[in-house]
Amino acid sequence: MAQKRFPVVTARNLSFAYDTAAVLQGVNFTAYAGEMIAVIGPNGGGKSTLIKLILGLIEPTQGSLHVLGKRPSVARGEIGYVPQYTHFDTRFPISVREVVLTGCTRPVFGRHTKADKAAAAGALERVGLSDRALDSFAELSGGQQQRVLIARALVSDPSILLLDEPTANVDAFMSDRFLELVVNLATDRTVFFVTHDTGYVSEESDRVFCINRSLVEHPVAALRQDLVHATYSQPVRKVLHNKHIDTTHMTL
Amino acid sequence: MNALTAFFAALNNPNVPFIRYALFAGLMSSTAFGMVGGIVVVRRISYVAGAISHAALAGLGASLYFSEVHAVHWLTPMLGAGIVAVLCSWIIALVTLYAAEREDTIIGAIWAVGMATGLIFIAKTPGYVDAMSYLFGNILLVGRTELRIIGMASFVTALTVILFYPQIQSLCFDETYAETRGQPTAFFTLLLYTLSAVTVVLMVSTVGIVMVIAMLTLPAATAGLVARRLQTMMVLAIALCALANTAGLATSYYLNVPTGPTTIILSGALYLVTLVLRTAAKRLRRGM
Ligand SMILES: Nc1ncnc2c1ncn2[C@@H]1O[C@H](COP(=O)(O)OP(=O)(O)O)[C@@H](O)[C@H]1O
Ligand SMILES: [Mg+2]
Repeated sequence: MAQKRFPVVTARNLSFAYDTAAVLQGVNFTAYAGEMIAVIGPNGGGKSTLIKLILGLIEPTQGSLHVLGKRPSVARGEIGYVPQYTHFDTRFPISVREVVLTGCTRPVFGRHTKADKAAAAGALERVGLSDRALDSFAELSGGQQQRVLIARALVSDPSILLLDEPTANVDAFMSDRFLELVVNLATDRTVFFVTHDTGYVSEESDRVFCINRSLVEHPVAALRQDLVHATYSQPVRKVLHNKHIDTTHMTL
Repeated sequence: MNALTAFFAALNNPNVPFIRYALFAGLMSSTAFGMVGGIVVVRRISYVAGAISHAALAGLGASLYFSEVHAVHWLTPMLGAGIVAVLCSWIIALVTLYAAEREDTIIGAIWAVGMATGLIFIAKTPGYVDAMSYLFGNILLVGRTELRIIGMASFVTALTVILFYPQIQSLCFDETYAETRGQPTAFFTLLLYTLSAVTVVLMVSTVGIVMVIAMLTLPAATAGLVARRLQTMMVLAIALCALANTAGLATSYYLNVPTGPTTIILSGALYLVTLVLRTAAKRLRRGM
């Protein structure tokens, strides 16, 4: 990818612990503008923790983390986020469009503007849900709700997108479409795409971070099947230009 | 028809102004109850509102005691209840937000200690104090001063909800996400708890400390059965609350029974009937 190498997220000797149990230790990386980074690793490896650190929802216990040269909590406005777990009540009385609009709600004061509503319509269009804008969020399927949450993350036109296992409750067909969408989104922003299952490693991913307490980076080209297999004891799937190819018995 | 005529005659009768006062109090506070009730229901903090309203007895008792024993007459029961309710709401909010204590423990503690304090103040107040009136409501407790306070507080509460509606909606739907948008979620949580405290006190005189929580949650829950948007739910809840208050007052006048319990029973009946109708409608639709 022909990008000027502009650092967007920088971690230096980053560590985090809940109470005393270390979750992340000595993590170093720099993510550059326009990169699509696949974040893989076993359950409990610390992927969501890294995402929350980048969002500024939790503070590092050691080391430094900068987003666009600023403290994470200051740079939040530049970040779009799709959480792994939905803590909200799925029967909450709210329309699809209103959910998307919460992505650009003023922090303290002020209502949604015409521009906000146009952005919400645009975001819903990108995830293919324009026709459901006025429906109740509660009436959508799990996969559709997940797409609404992606639209919510897109509505503020963030330069960084953090997707924490966005395909967790999306079926296999949808999740390939999903990947297409994510790849499209990554053309003009930095994307962290977290996944734990078989490692959704797209050809379009620029880099792969494997997180298990520490961070090990794998260039996509070097991501050999036996390596991933050894990490997960599971087959790898590879997506090539929207065609889904099972690479279980392929040598990369 | 005779009953209605008699009720309207009573409303116009200058010798029984308290009926008029009770009607106005119910109608005005319904705005606050519908809006804040909607928030309390979708945010599932009715037990917080329950603790606050019961603890308000401490403020009621203290104001009775201090005005009787120390001649602090500016401290009316409603004002005392309001101050204690707001303080308790802050304690619960701050403990929930910052202390690693379980929320239900602190809620139970505030609930019981507040009532106990109130009962001791009432016991120590010389002369006869009808504790039953404060616990279960008495429309005779609403005078012109109370009416003015209820009007003002309802207006300010409604205005606050309208002003911060997008932020409140965002917080109630997904608090973590609101935080990632830079929303000061602690401030808004505190604001919502404060609004609940103020609102609860507005109907304490008419329906009483024990039952006021039902007026906050029943109309909103009824509205929630049919509404698909939070704002629709609020508007419907305002209408239902006003209806229950007015019908409760008229019915209790006609049957010569206490107003508070009548109003509560009507609200509960409204909820049950709506629930049954909605369930039946869903089954019918599925059957077709
Ligand atoms: N709120 C929390 N309190 C204590 N420990 C936690 C908390 N959240 C996560 N952990 C622990 O931190 C580790 C990493 O969790 P997480 O980042 O969610 O993993 P992943 O997203 O890679 O599955 C796990 O061992 C988990 O048990
Ligand atoms: Mg996770």
